Amino acid sequence: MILSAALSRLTRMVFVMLGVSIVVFGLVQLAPGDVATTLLGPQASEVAKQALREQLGLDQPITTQYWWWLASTLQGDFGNSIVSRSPVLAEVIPRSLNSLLLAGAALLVAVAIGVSAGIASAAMPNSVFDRISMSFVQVVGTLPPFWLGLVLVYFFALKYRLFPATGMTKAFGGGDAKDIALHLVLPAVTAAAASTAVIVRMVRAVFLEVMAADFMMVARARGVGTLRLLSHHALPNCLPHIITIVGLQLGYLIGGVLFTEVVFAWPGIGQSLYQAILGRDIAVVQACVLLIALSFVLINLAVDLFNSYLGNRTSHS
Amino acid sequence: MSSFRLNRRSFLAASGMAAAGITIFGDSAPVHAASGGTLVWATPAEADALDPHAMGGWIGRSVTGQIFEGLLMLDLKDPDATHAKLKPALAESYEITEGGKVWTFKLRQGVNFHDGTPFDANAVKYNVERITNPEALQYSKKATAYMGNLTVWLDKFEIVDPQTVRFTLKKPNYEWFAGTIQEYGQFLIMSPASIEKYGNEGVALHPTGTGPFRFVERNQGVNIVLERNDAYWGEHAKLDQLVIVKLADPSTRVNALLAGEVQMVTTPPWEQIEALKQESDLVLSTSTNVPALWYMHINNKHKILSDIRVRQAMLHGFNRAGMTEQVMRGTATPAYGMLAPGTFAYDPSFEIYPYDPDKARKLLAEAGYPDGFELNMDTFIYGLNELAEQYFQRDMAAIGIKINLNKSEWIAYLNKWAGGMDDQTGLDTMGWGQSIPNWTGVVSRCSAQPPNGVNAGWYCNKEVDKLLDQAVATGDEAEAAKIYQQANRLIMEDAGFIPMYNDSQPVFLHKNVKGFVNPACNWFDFSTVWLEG
Repeated sequence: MILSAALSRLTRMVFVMLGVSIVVFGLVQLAPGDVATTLLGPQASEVAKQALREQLGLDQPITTQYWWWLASTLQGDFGNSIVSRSPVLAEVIPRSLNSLLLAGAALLVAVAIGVSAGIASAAMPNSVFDRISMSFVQVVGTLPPFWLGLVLVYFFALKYRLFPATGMTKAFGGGDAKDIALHLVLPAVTAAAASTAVIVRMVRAVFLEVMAADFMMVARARGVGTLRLLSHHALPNCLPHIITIVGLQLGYLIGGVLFTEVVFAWPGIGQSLYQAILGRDIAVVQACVLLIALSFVLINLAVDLFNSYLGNRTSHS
Repeated sequence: MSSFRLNRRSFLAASGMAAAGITIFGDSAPVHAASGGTLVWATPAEADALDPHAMGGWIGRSVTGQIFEGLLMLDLKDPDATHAKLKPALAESYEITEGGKVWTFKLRQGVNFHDGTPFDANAVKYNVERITNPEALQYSKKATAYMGNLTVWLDKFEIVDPQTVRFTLKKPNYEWFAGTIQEYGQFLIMSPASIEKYGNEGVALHPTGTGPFRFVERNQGVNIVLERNDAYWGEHAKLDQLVIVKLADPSTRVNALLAGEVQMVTTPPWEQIEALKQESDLVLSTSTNVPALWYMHINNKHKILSDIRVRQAMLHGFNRAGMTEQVMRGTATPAYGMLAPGTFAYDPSFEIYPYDPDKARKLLAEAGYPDGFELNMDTFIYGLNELAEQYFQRDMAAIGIKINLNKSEWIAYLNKWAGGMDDQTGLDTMGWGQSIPNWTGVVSRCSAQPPNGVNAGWYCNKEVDKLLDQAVATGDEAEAAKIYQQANRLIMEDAGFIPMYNDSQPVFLHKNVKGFVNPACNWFDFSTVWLEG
């Protein structure tokens, strides 16, 4: 059952990625601006530009270029960056790992704050805490990361000098775990804000629903204390919902992290993509978009499979 | 409260002491000599690939200029120089003969590349052939494409003897060599062994020259690390390390400076200059001699603009002094001509079409437009220039000309601009320059009209072309300067362009950065810089 579901989803995933690859390739072709002029500058002669186009294979028909590109991409060869002259994958993979680190840290923040605040609010519905936390979440959740990031930098990096303002390590002589952790705090909080807000509200709603269920009334009638009620009775029943919510937020975080990276000069894939688009570094643009699309698809697949596993388990039990 | 900062300070002090340690054991320089430290410079954009023959951009040149040297280099160490002069580097001396056609260089002996291989006449030949000889193994098509100024003029290269090389040009050109080191590519000498070892493409990741700094590492999109070359043939650099980090977002760049994470920032946002000047830890450095001219091409084929009175009216109606004061906060000077500062031909006293809106309105009325007209202007979304264009737009509105700004993203714009303006477009904008006045011809010669060049406004005056030809073949600089100034006067009397402002290259430095020179050039020499403890 699960296996066949997994297989059909995997097949669908292959088609989705193929579609993405066509869109990625086509979009780059449609973008205005000639690569040769970009690279050689305004003074270059037409002869020089033509020579460069030939060297880059840009004089071939688009379909030929696509097949070449697809064939080498499938072999793991994304070509060389025309800006840095180095293999694209060697450049983009470390960047995506940096993005994953940031997304992971943000997820941790979002889950830790979101779940605990959500449960606390649900445990004391309509209390002062609940009202304050709900309004706070409402505000923070709608702040764009590029604004929130600047505000956090102003207070915590420039005014109180608790955390660094930019980068992933010190510009020189840093790079150990403590250095990276310090650099991670502000961007992770920035990227986590919107997701935290969503998680708080969803967890609160899910818990309130479960708390109102009949079996909870029975438990309460049996004299089970509030804490135990939450941890032993409500939580296990809410867990599948929470995991789904978190899984969805991970996808959202990977997108949100891209904005945060620009504000904090975090060397992630968003930065690479931005730079590559400005410099018409086609191979890098394609690799970045494909990797981002692939991670979305993989996360969706994982959440899907996990849900169907949980669904199976509940229906069997 | 400031624990992070304290750590930074002690870190800097420690690295300063390490530097002092090196000097004790390295040579006999006194321990108290001004030296040491790590300078972190935040740039608005990434440096191009570090292959000097096949790269472009001013930031990239600031990096390759530390690692590599040419036979001659621009002297960027004199803060008072009004233009960057050529100085001996890998050549000890040079001679220009046959009226600017033959360039003979006497090479410096005993210089080694960073990889230990010796620099000699064969190394020069190897580099020349990489750019010019399709038969050579090291030939790079890309290098040829980037090095137009070298290849277009060069007729023949020869090794006269092991210490002497000679370049023969097709036509006399006294600005030729200065042009080859600030073309899109730069004719700097790379270690032949490094090209053999890493290949024409791979060598960009292992740049190996003879300069005062050597390459340590590059993390694409993050930073470039250079360290002092202690085996340098000339006066050694003072910094231990030079780190170049890319911080594309202007507020991020400013924040990094305020937080003490970087010590140098270029292209600060204009609107923050006043606030940053108030910071007691920061110092603002500018240079009014930088060849960075921002100007507008006027479409000389445009129906309305083909009337010279209309063009003159626009020039009279544009309050350039007001703009540099209010928008650039004094980090730019008004530009009145098409000769950039930082060249030997620049005349700072040249001023034409002073701000006079009444006269502008009168000229428009005479030309038959008492109620003004609408005009399309092409421009780009990149950097800071938008504010200048809005200022211009406001000034034009005041004399009755309604400017419609048509903005494109930078790369798309660059292509469009290079193609020349269509009938519907009256103006477009650009900013650049070189340390040689010959640059003026690049945008104004008849022969530079698209697609053969970037004279995007189709300006053409044969008299100007004749003067430009004459100037480049004139050996005496004072004499050549006069000819260029005459050409510039003709261009402006034709009202062929709208010069806007000369950028003064604002740089914010932390106050412990010493020895920095903001030169008459668009890039820097870091060998004079050190950090005070």
